[in-house]
Amino acid sequence: MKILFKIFFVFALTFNQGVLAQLVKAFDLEDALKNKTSLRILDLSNQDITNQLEVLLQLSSLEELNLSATNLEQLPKGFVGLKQLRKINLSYNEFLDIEQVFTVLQDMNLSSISLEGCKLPFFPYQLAKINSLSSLNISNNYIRDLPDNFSELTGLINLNIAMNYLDSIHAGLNTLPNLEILDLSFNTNVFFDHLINSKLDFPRLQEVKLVGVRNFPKTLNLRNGKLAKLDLSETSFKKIEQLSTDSFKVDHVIAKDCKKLNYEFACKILQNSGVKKLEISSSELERLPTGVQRMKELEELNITESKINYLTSLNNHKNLHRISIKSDELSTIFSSVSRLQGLEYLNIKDTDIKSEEVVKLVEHFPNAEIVYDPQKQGIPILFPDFMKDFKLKAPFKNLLKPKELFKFSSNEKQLLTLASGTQVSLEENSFQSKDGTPYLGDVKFEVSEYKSSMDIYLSGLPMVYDSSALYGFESGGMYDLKAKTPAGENLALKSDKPLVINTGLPENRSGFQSYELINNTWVRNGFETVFNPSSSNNLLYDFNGNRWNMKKPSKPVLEHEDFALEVWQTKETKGYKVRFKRGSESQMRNLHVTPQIVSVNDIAVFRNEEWIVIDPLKEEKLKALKNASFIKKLDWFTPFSKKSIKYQFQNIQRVSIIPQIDKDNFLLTVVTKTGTFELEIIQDFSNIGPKASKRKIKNQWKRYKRTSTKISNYNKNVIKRWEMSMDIYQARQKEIYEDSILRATDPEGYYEAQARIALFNNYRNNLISSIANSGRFQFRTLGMVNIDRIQRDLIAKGTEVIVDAFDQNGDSLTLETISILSTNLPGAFSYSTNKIYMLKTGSTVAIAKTINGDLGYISKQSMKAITFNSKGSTKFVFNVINPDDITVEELGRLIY
Amino acid sequence: MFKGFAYFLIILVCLSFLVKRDESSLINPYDFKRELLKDAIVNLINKKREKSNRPLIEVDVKLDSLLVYFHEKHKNKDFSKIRRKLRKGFYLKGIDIGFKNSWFKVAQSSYSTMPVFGRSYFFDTSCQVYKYGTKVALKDTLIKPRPSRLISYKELSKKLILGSYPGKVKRWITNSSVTKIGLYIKVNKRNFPSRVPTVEIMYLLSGNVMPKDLK
Repeated sequence: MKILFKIFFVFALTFNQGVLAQLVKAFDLEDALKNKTSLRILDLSNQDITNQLEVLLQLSSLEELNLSATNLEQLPKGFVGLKQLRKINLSYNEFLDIEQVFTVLQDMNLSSISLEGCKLPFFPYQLAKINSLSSLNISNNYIRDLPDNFSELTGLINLNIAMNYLDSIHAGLNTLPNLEILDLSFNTNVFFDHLINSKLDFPRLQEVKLVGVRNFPKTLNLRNGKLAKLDLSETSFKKIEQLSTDSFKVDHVIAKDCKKLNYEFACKILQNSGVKKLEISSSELERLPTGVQRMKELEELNITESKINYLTSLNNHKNLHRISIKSDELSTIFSSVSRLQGLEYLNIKDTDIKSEEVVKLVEHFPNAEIVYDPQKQGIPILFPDFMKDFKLKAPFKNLLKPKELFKFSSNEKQLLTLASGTQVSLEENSFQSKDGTPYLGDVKFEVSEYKSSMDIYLSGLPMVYDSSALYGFESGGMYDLKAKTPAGENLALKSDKPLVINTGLPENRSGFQSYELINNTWVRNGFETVFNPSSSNNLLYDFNGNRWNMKKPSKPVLEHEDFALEVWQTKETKGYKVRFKRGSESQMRNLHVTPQIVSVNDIAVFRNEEWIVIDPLKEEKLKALKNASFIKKLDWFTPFSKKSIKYQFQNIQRVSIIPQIDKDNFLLTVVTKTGTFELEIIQDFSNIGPKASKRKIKNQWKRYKRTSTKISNYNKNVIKRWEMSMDIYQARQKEIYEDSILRATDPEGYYEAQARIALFNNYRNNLISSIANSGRFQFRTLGMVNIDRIQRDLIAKGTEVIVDAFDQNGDSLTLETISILSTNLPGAFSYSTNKIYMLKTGSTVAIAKTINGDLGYISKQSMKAITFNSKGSTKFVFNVINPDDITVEELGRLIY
Repeated sequence: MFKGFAYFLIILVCLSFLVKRDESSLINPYDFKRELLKDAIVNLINKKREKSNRPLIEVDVKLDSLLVYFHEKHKNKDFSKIRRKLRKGFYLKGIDIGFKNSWFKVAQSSYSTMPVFGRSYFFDTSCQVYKYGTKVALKDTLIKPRPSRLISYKELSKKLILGSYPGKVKRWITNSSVTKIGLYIKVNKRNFPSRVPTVEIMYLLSGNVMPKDLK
């Protein structure tokens, strides 16, 4: 029995390990092939895999595939077999064969496609054939107009068409009914006022990005509902104004560096818009616009750049809880914010506020996170000498962060990207064995990155720097680097070929240096740091503006049969009835087709029916029809006949009638180039019974289906012809584009394009620098290295506390080490005495190792509840758990 | 053979005296209860549906409110006119209250709460019961007036539904596509209590007529 149990145990263990080893996400083909069945996400960006594409066909469970910047030209034929694939990223593949790629992709059930930076001079018409598409990124191309079938993309939720050359006339943008996020940034001349005429246009729009656009949409207030976000950064209009007096509603407004915008006037317009979050910045802004004070619903104020020297009182904003201000001339803020009871976050890092006032603010808002510049507003902290006696030892071995493993040949230059985005670059032939002989074979390279205070604590790395005195570190990233031969022999770096780490740093990056751990002591390695905010800008803008001045090929037009709706009001009920008509006065003709034109005459089966409009929004919808951009002709009143209005649709793309069985009605959909019209209608059955009604609908539907198959067979040929001419048109556009690269004949156009690019680069650089300031740090040795700066926190040293530790049962606890982690400070100091220093900034948590090897922690909420006793010892009640029972993620969730 | 049947008949007649009518379901014209009539109508329809395994009909509050709306709007008009108004205004008003089923029918009916048909009756105030005869004729006689015959709510519901106008509606009551009913009951108490009140009902039938296999 025992033997059987042992066999079962060993079997279970091996099986379990096998399951654990399955990867869900992989970054190279080798790993992907090892985990064919489990792999869901594959990121092959920046890798040359053109010869190995066939391998992808084996990954049957793949859901996301990133093939950006892989020099991809064509997709393998059997690619359709990846039936689980939903997202594909093809960005920055300049030589993409669009025709081939879309013949493959159109048969797949894709929800997201990215074609960013593929140097496309046209919007591929084939995209509209992918019905399941909900997210499309086609930014950073050279698109001037949209194809006729663009409005077929009705399922689109997220459309990013930024950095193209769309304008008002050729845009052909449809008021897509499901669109939530629209990015039109840097389409300088884009103009979509004419699309918004009523409450029903862009019904679900949440976010509009208009960065670098010349015209502010003046009809925003006509649509219904509140926008969640409106980004107007870098725009060049003077005013935010609406054609009518009502103000549009928006939650979050970003208006950074709008050179011509009058902020005073703009904030006045926005004061009634219910703005909750306002982000403004202008180097010329000398005082807070008065409109801001009237924004009663304001919750967050972010002024990223200004010359404000005095901040008017914000105490009346009861909901305001986050403030961030950047102004070198602002020297006081306390009285302006002192009565904000709900303040949670105050960023005054880039102001001239003195350290005394910072202390006052910290004490006045004990629960708020006050962010200030410790380098500017604080002094270096000296740590007690007892912290010098340090031994490198991870407190809990099972909670050590796993290593990231790379395999490569040392003959080639390497750029390794870690999971956090940090890049490690190595020169070719940069390794040598321990005795100094150069090594040229394959290398196994292991990296562990510790960036958060929790990681650092669990790694057991020292955080003190012993120089003239003992200082504490604030970390920008700590690394454990190892290089081995496949046989397991340790390798070292050649002294003339240092390793470079490029990592994101906190916003204020001054003071960071590179250190190496030698004999348990950090030693500064003396390399100078290179900050390169523009390094991630790898967009290539090498096209000349002249190409569009060449003779353009005319765009093929997909014409449709005319269709109109006759609408009249019924007398007794004040309801509406509709009838389907042709564009002219005459009736629709059954089965009639006009050569070269897409027919919508299948709907003529219902031409004799008078439909009752039962749409809940019928009043709004019919009112909107009057002003809609796609309506051609209105017959308001015909005096000698009935009072009816006839709406003829212009540029029709599709007319359909769909039975909605649950709702017991029909949905009439008319899709035009610039808008989609939907109406719920029913037939009048007041004179016949339920059986006869069913019979009538069934028979009508049979006839409709029969007719529509006939007409769709005809339409197929017309559409095919259009597609063929579109293929030629797209190929011609590509030719023109390629010619333009070779010949720069129009310097004016070139400079205009360059100016636009410079504008974008500037914006992008700012964006990158605000998200992650990357810096290049060099290291001569492998092993433990760090990118840290000396901690100059004003009050981080805080109060001296003597800890009296208890467990959750009230029993006394003997601790081996204790560490206080703060959300504000990436660092961890392990105290092996019961005398510790409590940090005052941000939220803090305590984590400890007991003498028995157990893990004890005090959560953020419990730490707030502790009342510190400056004279005697303070009672700390730890939750004690076995470190084997918990993972790092669970611990992070418990504590933070 | 005949003898055996005769004995059986006699036994049945004797036993029938032991069975009493359910007095609680009888209509007291002086105290008419609309809820009971409403239940009786729905039960009547559903009993037929149960027999033929069809889905039961449900009383729909929205349809009820629609009937109330039209009756309040046209207070002074008689039922037939209100029915016409309702037929035309159903979609407009029905959509507003969230009722979107496309097929509907309206019907109306009326009946007396006590079937006296030509016989004279009077209301005995002492025991609050309707009795046969006239007060004047019975004044100087020793004959005790007999209480008039009463009908049950079930009977009344039958009379109302089967005699409703238009007659076509009767056959749609059992149709499986018709799933909802709205009822409006009006008790006409003209010259009450000397005259027995009459009941007028109007009901709306509705259902989903879209064939499910349309695609």
